[in-house]
Amino acid sequence: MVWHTVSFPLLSSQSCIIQYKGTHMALQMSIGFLFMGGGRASLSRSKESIAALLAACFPRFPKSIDDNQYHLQPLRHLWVMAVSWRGLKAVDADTGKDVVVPLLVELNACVDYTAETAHVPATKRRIVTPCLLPPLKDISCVCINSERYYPNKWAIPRSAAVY
Amino acid sequence: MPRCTDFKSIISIAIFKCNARRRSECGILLPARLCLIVKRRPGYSSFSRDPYAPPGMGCETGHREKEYLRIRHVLAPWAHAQPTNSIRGRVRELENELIAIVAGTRINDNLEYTADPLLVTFSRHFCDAVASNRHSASRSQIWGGGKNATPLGIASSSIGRWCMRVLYTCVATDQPTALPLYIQLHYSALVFSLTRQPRQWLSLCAVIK
Repeated sequence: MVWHTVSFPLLSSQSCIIQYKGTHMALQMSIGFLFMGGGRASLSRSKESIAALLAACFPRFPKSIDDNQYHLQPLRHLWVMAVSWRGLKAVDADTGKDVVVPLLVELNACVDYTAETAHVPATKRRIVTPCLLPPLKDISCVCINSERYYPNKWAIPRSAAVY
Repeated sequence: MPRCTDFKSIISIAIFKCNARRRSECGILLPARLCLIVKRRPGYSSFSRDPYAPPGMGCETGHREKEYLRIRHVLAPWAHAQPTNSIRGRVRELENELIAIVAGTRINDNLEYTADPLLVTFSRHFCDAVASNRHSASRSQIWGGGKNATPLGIASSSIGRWCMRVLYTCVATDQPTALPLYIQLHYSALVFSLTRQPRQWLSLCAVIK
């Protein structure tokens, strides 16, 4: 039995006793998913990525460091294959610093995971940089939605939006 | 059952091959960080330096906030083609406020509405004397008018206001090259006044005003 020191005080309290390595692994994986890439990356939604995530997050965590009976522990690293870097930031051309810029993201017509609001149709989303973009394959173009900056429009090519 | 170390190399090779295949399919190497290069319009301040900018500008900004942006956040009223009567007064206030900020007469305002060195230097040397009568009296000598006798026949404090109007026009229209032209016109008016040519002087004063 391997005992790990948990840095979170709430998790190490008497009410939450963590004994197994699998519990630590699940906690660390969840924290890693939450702060993936420093907030600049997210999980992809492609079939390959879902398969990799299924293999990585198989709900049978080991009891010890050499417990490979039900699930191979190296497969826990397969979540890396599902990572997609979608963090977007805007840089001022004059100062070279990161700036806050409202953007309007136009999605493809087949996208159905956004809810239509009173002012914004379902195929458009207003975001403010720095932010995480929707999946690149669902984006048709990104344009600046502010009067303070010169208008510009970026079309996402189909070849670049594979994952 | 093989040990873990036997699988690590296999997994790493698989990940490498998968990434290579994806990149070959994409045709490009996707950047780790997507970056947009934007350029701010002259006469506008960035959101981070705007005192009227909302602290939490969410992702879903509706029309209400857009109107709020139009009225209060944008310190460049010339961007609006047809301002309505209701906000015309506010636009005029913002115009005066922008003049004061660009001219540097407001304390603790380091807003950068323009990066042009000519306009910045002009604002620092000629437009920041409006708040202080002592400085305006001394700087009015530069323009050749003196305290009570300027080439345009106006008070010396009006020289500073005239400079600010010129500066405002140059910033608003994004034409910093027009500033030397204004200065040359002013110099011509000064010459006409000194050489006692009233007809040319009056016509030039009308042009400058």
